[in-house]
Amino acid sequence: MFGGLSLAALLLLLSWPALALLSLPPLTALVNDHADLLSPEKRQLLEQQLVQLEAEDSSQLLLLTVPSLQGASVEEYALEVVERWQPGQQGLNNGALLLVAVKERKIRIEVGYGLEGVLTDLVAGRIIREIMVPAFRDNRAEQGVVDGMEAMILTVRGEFSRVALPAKEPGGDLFGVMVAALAGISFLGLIFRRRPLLASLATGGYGALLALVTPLIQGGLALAAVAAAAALGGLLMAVGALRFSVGRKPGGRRQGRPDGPRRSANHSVDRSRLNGEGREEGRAETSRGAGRGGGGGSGGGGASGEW
Amino acid sequence: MYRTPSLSMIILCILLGLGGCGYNELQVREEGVFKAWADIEANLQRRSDLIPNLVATVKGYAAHEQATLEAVVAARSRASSLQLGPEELSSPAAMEALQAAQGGLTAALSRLMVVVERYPQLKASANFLDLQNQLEGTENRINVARQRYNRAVEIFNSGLRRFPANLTNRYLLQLERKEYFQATPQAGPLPQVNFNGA
Repeated sequence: MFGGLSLAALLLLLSWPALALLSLPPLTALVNDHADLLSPEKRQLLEQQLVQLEAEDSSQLLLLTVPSLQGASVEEYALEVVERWQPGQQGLNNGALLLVAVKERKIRIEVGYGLEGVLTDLVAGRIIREIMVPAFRDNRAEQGVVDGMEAMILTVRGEFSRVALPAKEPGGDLFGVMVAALAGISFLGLIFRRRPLLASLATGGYGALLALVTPLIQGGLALAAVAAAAALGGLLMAVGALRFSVGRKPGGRRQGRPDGPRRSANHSVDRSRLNGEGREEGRAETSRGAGRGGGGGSGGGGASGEW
Repeated sequence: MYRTPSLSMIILCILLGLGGCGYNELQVREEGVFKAWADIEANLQRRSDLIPNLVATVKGYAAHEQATLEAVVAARSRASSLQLGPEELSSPAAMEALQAAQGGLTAALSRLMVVVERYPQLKASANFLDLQNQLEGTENRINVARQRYNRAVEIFNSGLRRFPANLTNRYLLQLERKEYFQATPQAGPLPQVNFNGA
C-alpha cells in the first residue's frame, strides 16, 4: 500500500516536468519586459500603443523579454508562451508575440494563424533581420525592441477591425442549454413530485441559475421569464409525475425518460473537451484579464533571429 | 411506489454506461489524427513549393554547384510524388516510405545550405535571406505539425487499447492504430564541407 503510493508519487513527479517544462513569468500586461530592456517611459508608451491597437483592430501583439530560455530552443519557448497566453481574439487567433532572450541573444516573432496573411515568415524575418538585429548589435536593445514592435504594429494594422469580431458564444450552445434545462426540470420535478409547489420553486431557481450562467440570456426581464417558465415546467412535471405514479404502480418507464437527454448532455461536454474547445473557452472566460484574449492558435509561423 | 426510483436509477446507469463505451470518443480522436495529418501535408507541400525559387536563386550565384542543386530537385520530385491518404496512416510501410522521401529532401536541402556558405555574395543577397527565412519558418511549422500529429496519434492509439473502447472497436468500429511521424534523424550521410574545392 505504502509502496504503491510512493511509486505513484514518484511517477507523478517524473511526469510533471513533461507537462510543465518551462516556468513562464506571469502575464501582467501586453508588454512583459522581464529582462529590463526598456525604460519605464518607453514601456508605458509601448503598452499604450499596443492597447490602442487592440482597441481599434482587435489584433493583439505581446512583447516578452526574458533573461534566459531555460535551455529550450527559442521556437519551443515561443510556442509554449503563445499556447499559454493565447494572444489574439478567440476564433480569430489574431495575435503575435515578440520574444527576446538576452542570454541566448535570440529573437523570435511567433505569429498566430489569423495574422499569418500579413505578418508572413518573410516579413517577420525582415523585421528581425533588418530592424532589430542591427540595433541589438549596436547595444541599442531598447531601440531595437521599440522599432521592431512598431514595425509589427504597422504591418498588422488594418487586417482586422473590432466590427468583424465574431459573436463570443456560438449558437450551438443554445442546444446544450435547452437540454440541460429540460433534464434539470424533469429531474427536479420527479424528485419533488409529491410537493408540486416545492418542485416549482426548485425548478424556478434552477432556471434562474441556468439563465445567470448563460451569456445568451441577458437582462433582468429575460431572466425572470426563464425562471417563471422553468417554475411552470417544474410544476407541470411534478403534477404529471405524481398522477402517473399514483395512477399506475409499476411506472418505471416514465421515470426512465429524463435519462435520455441527460446522457446526451454529458456526451456533448465530453466531445468538446476532446476537441480542446471546452477547455479553451473555459480558460478564456475565467482569466480574461490583462492581455489574454483567448486566441493563441499558432502552427509555428513566424521567424527567428540572432544578434 | 418506492421501487420506481431505483428502477430509473438502474436505467440511468445502463444508459450512462453505454455512453462511456468509447464509440464516439474513438471516432472523434481518429478525426483529430486526420486533421493533424492534413496539417503536416500542407506544410510539407509548402516546403516543396519554396524549392524552385530557392534553386533558381542559388543557381544565379553558384552555377558550379550543379550536382547539389540537381540532388535537391530530384529529392523534391521524389518527395512530392508520395502522399498518404487517411487509410494509409495505419500502414507502417507507407509511413516509412514517406519519411524516407521527406528525409531525403531535408538532407539534400541541408547539403545545399552548407554549399551556400562558400558564396558570401549569395549569402548576403536579400532574396536569398528572405528565402532562407521562409524555409526555416516552414521547417519549424513542419516540426510543430509533426509534434501535434504524434500527440493526436498517441491519444488515439492509447484510446484503442483502453478497456471499454477496445471491445467497441473490436466488434463495432474496427479502426486501426496509426503510425507516428518520426523526426528525420539526418537521413543519408552528413554534409561534408569541402575546403580545398571551388
